[in-house]
Amino acid sequence: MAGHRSNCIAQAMQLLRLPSSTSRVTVSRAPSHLRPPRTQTRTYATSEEAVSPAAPEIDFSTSSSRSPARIVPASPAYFSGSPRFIDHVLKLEKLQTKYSGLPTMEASEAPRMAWFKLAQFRDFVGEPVPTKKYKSLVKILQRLNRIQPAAVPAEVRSTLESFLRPGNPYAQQLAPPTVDESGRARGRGKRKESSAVVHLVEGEGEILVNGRSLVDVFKRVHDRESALWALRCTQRLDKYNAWINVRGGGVTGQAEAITLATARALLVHEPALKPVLRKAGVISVDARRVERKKPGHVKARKMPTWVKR
Amino acid sequence: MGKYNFTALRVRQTALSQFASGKTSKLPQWVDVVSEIPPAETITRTRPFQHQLVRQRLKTVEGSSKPRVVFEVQEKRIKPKKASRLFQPVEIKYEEDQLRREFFRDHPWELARPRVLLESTGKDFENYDWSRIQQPGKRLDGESVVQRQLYLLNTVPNMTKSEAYDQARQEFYRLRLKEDIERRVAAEEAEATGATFGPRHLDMGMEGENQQFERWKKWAQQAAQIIEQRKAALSGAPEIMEEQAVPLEETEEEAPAAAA
Amino acid sequence: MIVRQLAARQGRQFLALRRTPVASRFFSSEIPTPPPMEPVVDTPLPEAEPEKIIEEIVPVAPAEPGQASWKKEATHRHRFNRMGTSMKVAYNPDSLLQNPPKPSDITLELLLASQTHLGHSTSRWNPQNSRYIFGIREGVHIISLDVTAAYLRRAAKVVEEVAARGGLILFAGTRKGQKQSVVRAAELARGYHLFERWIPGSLTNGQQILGHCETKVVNALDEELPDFKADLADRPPLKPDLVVCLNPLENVVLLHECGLNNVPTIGIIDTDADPTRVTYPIPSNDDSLRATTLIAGILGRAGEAGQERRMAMAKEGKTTYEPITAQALRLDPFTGTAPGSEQAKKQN
Repeated sequence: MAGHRSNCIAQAMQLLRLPSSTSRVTVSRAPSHLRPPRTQTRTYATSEEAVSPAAPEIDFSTSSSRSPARIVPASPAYFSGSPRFIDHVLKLEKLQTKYSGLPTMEASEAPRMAWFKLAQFRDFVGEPVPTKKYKSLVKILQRLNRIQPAAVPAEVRSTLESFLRPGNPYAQQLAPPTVDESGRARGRGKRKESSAVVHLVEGEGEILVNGRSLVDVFKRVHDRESALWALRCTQRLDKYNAWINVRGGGVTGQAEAITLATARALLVHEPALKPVLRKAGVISVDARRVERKKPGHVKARKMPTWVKR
Repeated sequence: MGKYNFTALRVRQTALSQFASGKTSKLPQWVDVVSEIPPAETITRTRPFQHQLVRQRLKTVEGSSKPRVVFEVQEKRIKPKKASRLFQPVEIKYEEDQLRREFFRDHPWELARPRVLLESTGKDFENYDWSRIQQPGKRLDGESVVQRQLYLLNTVPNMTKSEAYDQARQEFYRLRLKEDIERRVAAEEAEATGATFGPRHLDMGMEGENQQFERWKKWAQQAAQIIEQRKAALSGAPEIMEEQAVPLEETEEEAPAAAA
Repeated sequence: MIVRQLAARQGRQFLALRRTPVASRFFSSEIPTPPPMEPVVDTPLPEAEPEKIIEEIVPVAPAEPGQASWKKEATHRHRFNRMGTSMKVAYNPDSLLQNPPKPSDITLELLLASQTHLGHSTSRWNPQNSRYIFGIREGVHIISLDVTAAYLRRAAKVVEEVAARGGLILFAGTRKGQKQSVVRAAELARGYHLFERWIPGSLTNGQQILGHCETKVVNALDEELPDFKADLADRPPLKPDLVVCLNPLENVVLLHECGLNNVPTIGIIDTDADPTRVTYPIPSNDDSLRATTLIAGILGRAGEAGQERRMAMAKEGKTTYEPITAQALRLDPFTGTAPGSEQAKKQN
């Protein structure tokens, strides 16, 4: 404090030297606790003659519109700690309620939009937004995106566009795989640690896995059956020959990697089989992998046995 | 500070002392607001409201033509209050409570009827006049009987509780019956002029049950047929199987024995 | 994937499939021709028959958007909604949000209809609230409505006066469903809202938590002055001048920090809350959304009146508060010295 006090005169001189674009405002009022108690009756917010009883009014000089009066938060959500994010949410919610009556379409038919990824969104607002809250915001965006294209108001369109990440990753569609000049369709599939590549040709049902016969490679009937389940459930076992390369993992993983690869190759030949194969469960990718072992655990989740002392 | 924390109540004093000691360079804007509108005392204990059950009755007095309004106050409790309970709030009692309890004890199914509890302005009671049991904007229900009974007790000379109850109830029953007849007549009229109300809930339920039964019957017939066909495939022609039903079973039993 | 289909493979469908002889080759490119495969006879479930499904995959034209029908419906609604009878006294749940009553509109009937009188079960009471309690009904404490009305008017007056002096008013209601009322009250009173968790330390450790939040310099008419943006860089974070808390029970930390920072508070005190936690208690039911919406709306209206008063005075060139000066803005907020004060020191 003492250091500050010693600066007082210097500070005053500095003030005089500062280019003062605005004129000084002089305040002449005593602190309220020194003034005699007031006897005016209290008024309600609505009463007409509710004049502020506190401070004597201060006359501004001519350029009052350019002189600062207060420092205030830029956003009404200032005290929440993430004002820009909350402003966005409130704005979107307002739009959602305003246009809730517009015709919508199915979520699957709505145009695919590349919203900000979480990290990008954090950069965009400049605040540490939690994942869950961002998900709730994306939910509102998706709902607004479901409004039928012909009915989308310009306001909604421009707002939605501000949440898109730069560039449009969904602009170019991947070319659908086709059968090559010698009639082969290629499909790849993964399961656990194994990956399989299947070349499918029209034929009489001959199947070679890594150059060997299926029975050689898979001793269990179950594995053989699951490897060819895509062909079996569509009754195409004797209509295609398959040349299969599979590597990595164990027997089950290899068999089921082949299932996926065969199904994908079959889809290249006959795209109309997709619902059947979907129902048979052979084109859904099983993304499960072995869970890592954690320190303090015996396996991924197993804890060591509790021993008293 | 002790037991209580009065920090929130002493904001003004704190602000002034901080300003006086130089901790803050300027007084906050609200200081004079708080001095004008001081916070209320919160900790002082006051005697709670004492609620007494008061009954208003009209009684005729011999010798005067006008009946007299009599207020009966429920007699005080003989047992005095404990000192520790002196500042505790007291139960709120009204005369209707007893009437309400009696009515709903006698008519428990009245409680099952839907009832609107929501009030938009809170001033619904201003439109009510209990000199008659029906009120504008209020559905006829048990509460109407209670209020009507109370009105009778308060305004009719020498009215007893059971008389008032009988009268209010009679009016109530008559109106309920009238409502019922009106509803039936309206339905009949509507049907006579071509309205259709569609099936009732009960009919819809029965219909659904029948459909499910038909579905099951179809499935069961198919399943039975399949079983028949399988059996026939095992043993050749079905007619033969039927004829040789008993011997076939015997041979089947013998076959594993022979194999063994 | 395989396990999921185990039932399908071991079940009746699989039997049926195995027994079906394959007649001839058949590709999906040949769809228009009648299915050459003989139908499976004894499969009761249709999904096991691929040929049947393929039959269903007829290229379907994209569904006609309901645009036209929706437009028709909207015009109908517009044309016919004004005809016929109209409900005049229908209850509109949003009316408290859209058009909240003013402090002068407070009546006991309104408070009663908004359920502000319902307290908690008698066993949960805080005896410090005994002066606000009217009595007991069915094991529940009933809050005295005239006390509620008096305290609510007093709180409204405080909000109005603080708003008229340009104070920052924070409306906090962190319970589920209070978001709309809090935002609306802040909008009316031109205050600030908090409907999610109060981050502990927002006042006591403000530089860390609110340091990155933007502030602005405004003139007496609340117009932003962008010239002073550079002076805001090293300012300490702002603190509210009044906090209105709709659920003090859950916001103990907020109220504690307000106490430490000497900020006056207004709070809805139910019969189980501690009334000494807030400067201005409003004894009322805090569990009914209708009650809290009513109270937030009334306080918002009071704030609106205060702001209007302030703006009217600002138009005449007067303020009821001490405005910050351009010089003060240019000073270092922590040391109170001007940017070039080293030279001044040397001169001394």
